Amino acid sequence: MTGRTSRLLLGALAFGYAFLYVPILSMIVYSFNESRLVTVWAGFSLKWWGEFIRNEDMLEAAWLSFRIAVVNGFVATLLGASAGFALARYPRFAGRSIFSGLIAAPLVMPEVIMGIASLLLFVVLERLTGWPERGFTTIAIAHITFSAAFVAVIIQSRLADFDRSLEEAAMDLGARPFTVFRTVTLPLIAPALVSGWLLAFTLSMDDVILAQFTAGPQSQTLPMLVYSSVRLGVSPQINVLATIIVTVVGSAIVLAGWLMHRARRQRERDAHAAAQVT
Amino acid sequence: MTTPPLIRIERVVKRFGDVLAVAGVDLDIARGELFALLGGSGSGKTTLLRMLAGFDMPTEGRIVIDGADMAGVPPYARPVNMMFQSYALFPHMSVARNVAYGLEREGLPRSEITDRVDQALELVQLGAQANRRPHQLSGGQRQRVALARAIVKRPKVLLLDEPLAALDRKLRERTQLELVELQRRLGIAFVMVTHDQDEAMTMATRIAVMDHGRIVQVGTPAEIYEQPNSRFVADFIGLANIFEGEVTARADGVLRIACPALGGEIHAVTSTSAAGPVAIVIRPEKFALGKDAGGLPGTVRNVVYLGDESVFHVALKTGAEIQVTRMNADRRDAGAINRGDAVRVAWSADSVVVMPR
Repeated sequence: MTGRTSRLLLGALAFGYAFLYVPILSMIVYSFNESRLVTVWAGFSLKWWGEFIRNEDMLEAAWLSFRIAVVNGFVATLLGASAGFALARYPRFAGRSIFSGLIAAPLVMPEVIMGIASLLLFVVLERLTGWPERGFTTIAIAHITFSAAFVAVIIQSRLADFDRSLEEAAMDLGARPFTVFRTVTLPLIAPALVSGWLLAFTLSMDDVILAQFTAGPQSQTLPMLVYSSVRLGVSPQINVLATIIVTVVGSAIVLAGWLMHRARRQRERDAHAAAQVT
Repeated sequence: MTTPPLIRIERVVKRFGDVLAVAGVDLDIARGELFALLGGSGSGKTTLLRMLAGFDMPTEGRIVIDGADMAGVPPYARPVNMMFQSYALFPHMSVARNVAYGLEREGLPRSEITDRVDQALELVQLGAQANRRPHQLSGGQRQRVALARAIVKRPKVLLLDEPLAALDRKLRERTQLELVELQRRLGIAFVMVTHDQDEAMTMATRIAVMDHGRIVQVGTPAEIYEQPNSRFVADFIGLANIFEGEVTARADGVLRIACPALGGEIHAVTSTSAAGPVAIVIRPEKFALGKDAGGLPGTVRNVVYLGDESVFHVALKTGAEIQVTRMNADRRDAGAINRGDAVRVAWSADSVVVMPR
């Protein structure tokens, strides 16, 4: 390779990465800015980090979002996994294709429509029964309907390539159906359940639209707060928040990558060891 | 049979929707047998095995194991265990936990489970691998874990679904004999499904040949080979030269059969009472092949050298083409027969199998 091509490639690489990461990096850098103007650098300072920590609204919104996301993660995983099981395991029940289509609909339906639909339902319900009060519950329910569909698809595809003879073997060895599920099926689909939970958590954590429709006047999730405060003018506190989120997400990705890498190395060593005993 | 059979299969039929997988099977299997269900794909042999295990229920008929009717009895309550073709080892458990799984379901005390797991692993020579995971083992080792897991519960019947299909040839041949040895030592009845006739012949005490959901013939390996009851069995097991003929006379256990393909009238020593049009089977090794000896004249069309033996394709003067096998007993065969040689083939009346056409 000539020096010229190599420099060209290097430039292309640098440009590509710059395109992806310069906005995020500059945002992080500006979270340590002294000035209250986001775009003007006035020296290093932790002033906005302090402001952020004292910002009750922001912390309250973050706590609400977190609670909703956790609840959503568990309930959506339970419902979605049940639906995924039904779809994967009873391939001949009447109306299976309709059911299958209905499960996938929330994946493609515009969120605005789901938001309006949920809102109307909640308003009518509240008028008739006095429940639910709009806020935590309604946002969580809306998020669950949405993210359960994603979990269902993940579980369904995991079960599609699940070796049924493992369950038959367990049953053959004396395990009743529930024991088979607890000791064989569940441990083997656990990774799919975890990724389903994480996906549901993430979907809930960064949703603005559904929350916007279903939140009550008193409740505000973090994305809603960010969205509305940005419309009034970007405060450097948003940079602080974003920096925290990027750091947390970034560490999680690095950790997951490291764990997966270690598992792969272990498998390779095992395979090597197995090859030698053959 | 004076003692009641261990397994009795009565008029069992299995339909999957419109597909008739098993079309009426009657079969008795005795204690201590190593029984092989032999057939091609779609012959119903695996479905029959799965009905013994309880994964599928018969549409009609009934299955009795050790005196108990198995109708409605789920797999986890049957006195049988199965070794799966894929082995179906639990990937998230160690070898020892895999073997212990069935015993844990019985709620046995910890110490007894440990002892029996150790014994079972010792039996299949995997004591040193107890703490490994299945994916850390070689194919042969996995096969032995699956075996240990299936026999540790001391079932009355061990079902084996293509037990050796995943092993390479050398290992398979060795394992066949090990399985037979183990079966004799344990005294458990083995019922094995296989599509490999050599495997069935090597291992089984009795074989049921299946085709299209029916049992075509049941017998010892020698009976199946030397006395096939149909063209299907003769053709399916080993090489067979099959001709058509017509019984013309019968006297003192000797049939006279008009068989144009074999040069006119031939004799067959047989107890069958077949009359009229018949099929005649002569196995390739039953022919004597020579250059100067007597017999039907023909020309060698092709020689397939297999090392231990050679297969000669001989075109007879009558127009029929036959296969003859001959052991290569002599390293430097002086009277070697080559392609294009004129030869004569002979056979004895004893080696002619006659069956209704």
